[in-house]
Amino acid sequence: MDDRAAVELVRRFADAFNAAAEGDLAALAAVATPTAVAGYLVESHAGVVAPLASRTSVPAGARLDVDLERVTVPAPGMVVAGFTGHGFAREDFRGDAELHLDGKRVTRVLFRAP
Amino acid sequence: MLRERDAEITGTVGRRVFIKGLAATGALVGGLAAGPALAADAATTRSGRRRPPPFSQGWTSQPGLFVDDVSLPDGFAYDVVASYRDPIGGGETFGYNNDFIAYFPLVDERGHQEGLLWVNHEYPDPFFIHGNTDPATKTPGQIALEQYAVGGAVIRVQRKGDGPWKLKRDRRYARRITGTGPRIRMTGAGVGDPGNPARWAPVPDWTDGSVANCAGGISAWGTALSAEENWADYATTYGWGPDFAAVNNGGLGWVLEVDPMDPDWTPRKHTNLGRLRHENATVWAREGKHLVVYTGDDARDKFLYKYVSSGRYRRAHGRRNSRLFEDGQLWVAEFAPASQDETVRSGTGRWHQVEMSPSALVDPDTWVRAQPWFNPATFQLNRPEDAEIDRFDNSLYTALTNNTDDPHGSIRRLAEEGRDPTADTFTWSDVAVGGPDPAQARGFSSPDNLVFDRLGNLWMVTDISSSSLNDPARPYAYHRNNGIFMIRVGGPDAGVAFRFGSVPNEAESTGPIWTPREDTMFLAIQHPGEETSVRGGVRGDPTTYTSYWPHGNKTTGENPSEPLPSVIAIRRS
Repeated sequence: MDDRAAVELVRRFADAFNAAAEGDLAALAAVATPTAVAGYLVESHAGVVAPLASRTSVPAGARLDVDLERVTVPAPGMVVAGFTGHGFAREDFRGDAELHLDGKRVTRVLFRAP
Repeated sequence: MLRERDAEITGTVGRRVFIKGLAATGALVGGLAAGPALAADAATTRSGRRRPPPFSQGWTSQPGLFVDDVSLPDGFAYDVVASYRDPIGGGETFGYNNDFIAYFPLVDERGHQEGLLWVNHEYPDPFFIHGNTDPATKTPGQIALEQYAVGGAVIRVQRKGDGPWKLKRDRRYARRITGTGPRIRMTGAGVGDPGNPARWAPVPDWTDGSVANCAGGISAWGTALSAEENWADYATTYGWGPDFAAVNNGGLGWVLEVDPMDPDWTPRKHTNLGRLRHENATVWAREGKHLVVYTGDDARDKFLYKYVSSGRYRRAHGRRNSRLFEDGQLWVAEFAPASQDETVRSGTGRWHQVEMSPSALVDPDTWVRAQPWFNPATFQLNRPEDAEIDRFDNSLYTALTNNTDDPHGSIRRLAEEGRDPTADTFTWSDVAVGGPDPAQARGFSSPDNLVFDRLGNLWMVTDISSSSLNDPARPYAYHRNNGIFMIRVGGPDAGVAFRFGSVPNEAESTGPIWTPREDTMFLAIQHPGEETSVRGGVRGDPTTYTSYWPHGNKTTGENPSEPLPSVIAIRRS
């Protein structure tokens, strides 16, 4: 995946996440596999892994913002983008969203913060 | 030869004596990394028994390691004292993710070293506790396991002669505070007055249990203080549900006080220290003076606070001094840089009063931001973590761990005016700045917990996020695993961090604390292998776990096994 395609994927993922947060979780099907999961690598969220298309991973009213200037492809099948927000209680939660891909669809997203 | 009477420095002895003691040992000579190792010099007690030399001597700065073990300089060893699920006595077991440790010595007539440890248990890891990582589908039983795994523990530990430290199962002292009990009394102005709408607050007179217990402090009268940090996350993140939040949230986010020596003394939470993501509660108490407690709000762009009691500390009052928490004033720190030049990391500062009303104490951050004197540029900090007081001059050292634009963090020193912790103003400077130092093959990132040794060296442990460790795309790759450091606060090496060791994969070390002799450092190894659940680990198949510590070693492939948060005792081998 080249950089341009990676940026486009991240943009589409954020759009789908926010659409799901505003209404239909099925919006995620456009960018993620049905069995995709979200996990959290930040203190106080340790060990939490849940289906991506769920209100655990996409709380109603949540808002995910991504930094399209900070999109990288560190390895085949992985795209990393800076993010802020996601709807959890920790208001200062921002860092990197690590998207793992099966072809062009997301199978796992890991939200990680330093 | 350093004799005991020279080395035993009390809080009433000044810097002049301290330097004299150091000179006797040669400890101020040269830098550990710059020259040969300092000669380790054993001390002799009055009875003639040899004691090992101070921890600060006899080793050189260690390289950072990506090894699934606690790695220490030659001549040092560690004992695993207590791990998750270990029976501690009285039918109780040790909790998960040990953090802050406080040591309370017991008298052992046979001459053994023996004491109680108060240990915080900060947060659960559902994968290793019961296996269900999805908050939405947890059963009540799984939630109960998590609630039991957090809070705190009192355990009894013993060392016979020069042997290892061991957990001693105990019926008299050993106990647990969990996420749901016991009953805890709320004190202070934050509780509010239910009969007065102007002073109402959603804080009950009593609450049950404690969560998110991060760092803490030790009072001068022998109680442990435990800081509730990420208290707001449990109902949602861990799926404990809105019922838990509705019943418990008013009682969370405070500083808990426990007497490890007396199970019958009712624990209490002190609302006068405010409700925030408390990292710590660092106590300054001197005879006849007002009590001072410093506490950091560990989140990005939050503040440093201090509490000053109305009454005065009296040693003879013993545990009754706890009432000093119930009447006093909370302050918040403002840091004015000496220059607009961002490379200048020093300046002056002043403390601003926080209104001692229920509404302000329940959310001091919001209250502070609404004040006309508030300025984000001078109040907001890069996640204030632990703080420790230099007993030689009463200055405060606080770890500012990192922020979006400061990935490596720093350690900041506050010198209160007149060396008086109750002062309204102070000066400050960043005395140690994080980041790699390739020329010296050293450097640190994300400083977290701190402790001074009696010679005045500042010991620091790092908390780089598991997901950022050893990632070549991240700025922390140089660091390898999280580490243990010693920092000189004076002399030619002032501000230099000498690496004492590294900790297992994905772990951070927390809660460093000395025995009174300082021949042992207790340390908590928290969350080894915590990426396992999100990296596709399969519960029951240890080969898929990202750490095998303490019973195995992922790096060498030895004994694949469940990683267990554990308290260790570091000593000379």
